Amino acid sequence: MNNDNFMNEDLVKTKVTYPVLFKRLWPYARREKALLFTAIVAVAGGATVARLIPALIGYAIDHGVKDKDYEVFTNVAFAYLGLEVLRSLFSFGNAYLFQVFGNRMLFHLREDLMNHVQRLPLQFFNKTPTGRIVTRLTNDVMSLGELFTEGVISVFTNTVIIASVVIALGLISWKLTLVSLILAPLFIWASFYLSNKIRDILRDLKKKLSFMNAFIAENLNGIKVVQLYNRVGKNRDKFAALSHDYRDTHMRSIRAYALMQPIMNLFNAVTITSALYFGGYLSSQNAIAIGSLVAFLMNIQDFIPPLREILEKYQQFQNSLTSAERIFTLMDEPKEFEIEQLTSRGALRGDLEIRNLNFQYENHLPLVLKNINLNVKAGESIALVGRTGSGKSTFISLLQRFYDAPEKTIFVDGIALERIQREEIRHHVGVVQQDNFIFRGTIRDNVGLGDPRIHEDQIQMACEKTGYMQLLQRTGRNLSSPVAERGSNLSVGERQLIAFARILAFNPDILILDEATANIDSESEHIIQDATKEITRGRTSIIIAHRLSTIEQCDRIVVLNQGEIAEVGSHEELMKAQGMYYQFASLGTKSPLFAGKSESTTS
Amino acid sequence: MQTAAENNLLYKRPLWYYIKNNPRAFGLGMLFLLLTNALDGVYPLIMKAAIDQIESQAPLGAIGKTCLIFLAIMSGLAITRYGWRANFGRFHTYAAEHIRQKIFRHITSLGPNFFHKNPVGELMSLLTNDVQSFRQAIGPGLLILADGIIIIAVNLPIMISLNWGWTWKTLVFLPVVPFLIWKVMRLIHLNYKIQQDRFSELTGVAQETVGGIRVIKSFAQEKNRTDLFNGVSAAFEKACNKVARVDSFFIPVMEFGVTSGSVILLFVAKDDLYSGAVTLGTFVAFHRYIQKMVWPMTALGMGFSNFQKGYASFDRIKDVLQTETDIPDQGTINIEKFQTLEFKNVSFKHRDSSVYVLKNVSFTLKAGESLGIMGPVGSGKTTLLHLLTRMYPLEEGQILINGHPIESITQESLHRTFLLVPQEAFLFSESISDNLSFGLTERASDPEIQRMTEIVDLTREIDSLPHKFESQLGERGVNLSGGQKQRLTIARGIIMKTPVLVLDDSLSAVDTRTEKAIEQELRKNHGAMSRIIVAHRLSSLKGVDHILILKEGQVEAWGTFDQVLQQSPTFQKTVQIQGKGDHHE
Repeated sequence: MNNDNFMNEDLVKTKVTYPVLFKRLWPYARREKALLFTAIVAVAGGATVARLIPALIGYAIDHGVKDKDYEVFTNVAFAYLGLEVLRSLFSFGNAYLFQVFGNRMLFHLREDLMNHVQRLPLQFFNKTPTGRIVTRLTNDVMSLGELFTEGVISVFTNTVIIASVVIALGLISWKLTLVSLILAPLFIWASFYLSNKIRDILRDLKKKLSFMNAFIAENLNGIKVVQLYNRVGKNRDKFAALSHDYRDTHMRSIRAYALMQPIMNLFNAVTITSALYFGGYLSSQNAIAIGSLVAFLMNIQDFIPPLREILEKYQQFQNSLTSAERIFTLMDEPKEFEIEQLTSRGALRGDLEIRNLNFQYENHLPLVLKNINLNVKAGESIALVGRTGSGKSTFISLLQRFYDAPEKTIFVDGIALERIQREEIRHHVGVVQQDNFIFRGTIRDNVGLGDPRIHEDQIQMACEKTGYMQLLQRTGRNLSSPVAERGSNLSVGERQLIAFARILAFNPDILILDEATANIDSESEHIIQDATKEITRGRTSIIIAHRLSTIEQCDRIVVLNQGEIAEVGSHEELMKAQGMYYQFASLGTKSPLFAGKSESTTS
Repeated sequence: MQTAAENNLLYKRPLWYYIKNNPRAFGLGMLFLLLTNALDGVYPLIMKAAIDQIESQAPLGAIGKTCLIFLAIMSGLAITRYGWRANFGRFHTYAAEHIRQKIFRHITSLGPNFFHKNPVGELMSLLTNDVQSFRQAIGPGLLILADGIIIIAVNLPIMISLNWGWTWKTLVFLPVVPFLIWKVMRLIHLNYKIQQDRFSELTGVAQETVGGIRVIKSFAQEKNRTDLFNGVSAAFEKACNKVARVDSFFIPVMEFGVTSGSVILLFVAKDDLYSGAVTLGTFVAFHRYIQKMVWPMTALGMGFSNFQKGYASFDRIKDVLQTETDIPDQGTINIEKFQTLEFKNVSFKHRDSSVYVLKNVSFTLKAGESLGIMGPVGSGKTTLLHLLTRMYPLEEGQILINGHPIESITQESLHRTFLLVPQEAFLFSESISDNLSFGLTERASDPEIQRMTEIVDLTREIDSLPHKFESQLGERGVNLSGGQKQRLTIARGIIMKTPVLVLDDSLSAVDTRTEKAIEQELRKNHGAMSRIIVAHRLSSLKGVDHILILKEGQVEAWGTFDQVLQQSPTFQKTVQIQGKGDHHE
């Protein structure tokens, strides 16, 4: 483990403001232009229709009631019906289309993010907890969606409504509009001030909630420990404090929201009162028809609700910007990069040459591998032995280009490793890790990894050759048998066998096998030994071996000590030499080479 | 703690229980709600008066007076609206807090049997979602229901007094609205559940992709994985769209009542307006009242739906609260000084299972003696330790400590005698020093912590962390490897200095040198501390006084290393595989 392995805080490197957010989302939005356009049309249509209704009623009063024109009134009633139907259609269309649009955009974003994540270097995964990356891909994208559909769209839609109301008011009487809305700036300022307060409280509330939930989750997951260490009482008190604190903060947010109401109410009161009074005055001067005044009053009552909506939503979702920041920070994380465009090479023989290889993870860190020189002929098998921290794992990471070795130090078939694309070299070099990740699904999925290039008969053959098929049949299962999350319904031995079968199915030119140290039941142990022979047959193999029986099968043995090659030779040669290997072989499991720490270190 | 009578009331009539416990908040909330609705019902009447005055060219002074009354009413509304929100808020947040804490207190007293049946995920959902929807029911749900009923009660008489004929003709379609709203809300809820399921699938695939990234990269499966992810991602999108579609019906449905009412009003009001039987002000006011009826109708539907969900949640909460513990802590004996432990014909099977995990196990252990337990997977080793720490009720046989049955000893004292370090290394998101001091009444001293980490060979690793012992663990902090975690849990156990330290296979994470250091530490305290260990490695069993070999729940052998080697085929086989002279020193 190198010491950049910890991150105290989830560093947000990409600052996101609304303009940045729009800029970064635009490429995704652009792909759904038609949908976006239709949704905007629905908003504009809805707002227009909503303004036509008071106008219609005003018209009915001035021309129908005042002029005693029966016809007008009947027509107005039908027109009204038509407008209301239209309004419902627009309202449905606007709400639905925007959400569909948003969901589509999020789909594209998720795809991009997933693509990106899988191409990040292994170092990134070593220092970032899995849960954190998963949250970016799922929850954070979802709350960005909420920010979008409920925040951005709501602000947009309501702004359009407010604009339409102001226009309608101005058209009826700009003088009355001015007088009625004269205090508007004051109220808007007051409510903005308050909603900033609300935002802070909500942020606090959210933090306290997740704190409390984390506490609950931890206490329930670790309930055994809590009970065994007599900590139940103390932790209940701790929880009580958290729970009270959350409740009080919740109350604060409720009170702040409740205060928003009176402000809006007073605003409403002042505008309507002034409209009534000056409307009365204008009417007495015959400057405004009574129908227009009624329409004006109807319109002005539509001014406040969208304003309130904006203030509530906008601030509430300001907090969700952090999700966007996290997403785009991940998106800006640099990918594994190639020096230049490389062409693909086709099949390899599997000759491996290492020349003067020195490697360190970072400049300020000590060398992990020192002056390694090694020639492996195609088809040869090498056992790599050494205690934990001797550089074995690093060595295999270099061969798959998870880390880049210095230029011109590793050659495959005479080609420098950095001249072969990552994806391609990983086709050629197959790895069986100590603890192989098993996916949920079926056994078939786990052997073929769902790769369309791996056919059913390849999977079948691979399972038969490793002896796994027989084991399956004996236990009444087949390739379609389900595999639980992380392979929890399979034994350690079976998981090994799946990894072996995977190798045979993918048939790489070079094999790297990190032998498991874990206890394997004796039945599988037997099968695994045979399977090891099967997968190494005729293939260049490098085996990080822990069992003497495995080591003895290899053509040559390389002993690594503190990053350097200490001994090379066959079993007989090294036994004769009576060096480190000799000690290892004679001491068996107590040897320092077999230090017993079963943790596998990735770096 | 609450009395049985109180609990009874809570389970039967939760709403009434909370009203009784917080009458002030509830009463004030209701009062303000009534006032609000009364004022709210009156203000269109004032508006009507003003318009009528304007139409009839009344003097500006009179209009001004009406306007002032209007302003006064609206200001009153501002105050009463704040009043009911704040008071009702207090009512339901306090109730939610109460039930949340009650659940937490209750489940932390239950044993593993309960947690097997109720996975942590479900309990989390109970404490968050169910508490939330219960709060929604007795808070906002109750509120809007009351609000809706009061508004109808206030508005309807006014409308009838304005014009009876108009009232029934315009409101004829309104009663359908609550039903439709309820229906839509149920559909939203239903589809939302589907959406949640799709979301967990999405999370599952993301989790496996990130967790298995090494395999994916090794086999160059990035593109395949993205395709797979896109599949579940598209399914999730589809589910979201379904919710959106149902959701978008909400507002049109809500407005259906008022739309129909307004259109009808235009048709029916025409004659009355022409004949002059009704004034224009009345017409405008009536139109306003129709609009005001939208909300109560919606409120009835929403409130009912909230109540339904809330009570379903409360049923789940009730079920958990009424689960009795199967290991009641009713013992009275405190163990002052540990002397003997005796298993007497102990047999055990799990509830709902007919297979015995332990059969007729008997042995005796004296203070200071150490015990090693070995056996194949599933032979009952862990169960034995769980019975010793009384995590399950004992039904057959007896476990005696200093001659007292285990049930007669207080849990706390039992845990102070036998401290179990479980197999899975569980640490808390606190600092390393807090984790080490977890079972102590106060934080251990720095030298003590230093000493403990040295014993488990963690000093070097901890020193390389930025904040050393004060480094936080967990999601927000540093990530320890599995082995490091395991060693930290061992240190957390040793620091407690209990007479017997019980290690369930925890030693698999340490090397032989560390194993020795632990052994020495336990010996140091005048032989007063000993250990019971479950192990797979022969080296771990070196130096224990007794070895117990379990096979299929039965004692295959008991005795010293050499005795056991003679009696037990299981042990012989292990020596064969691991051995090569490993034990003779």
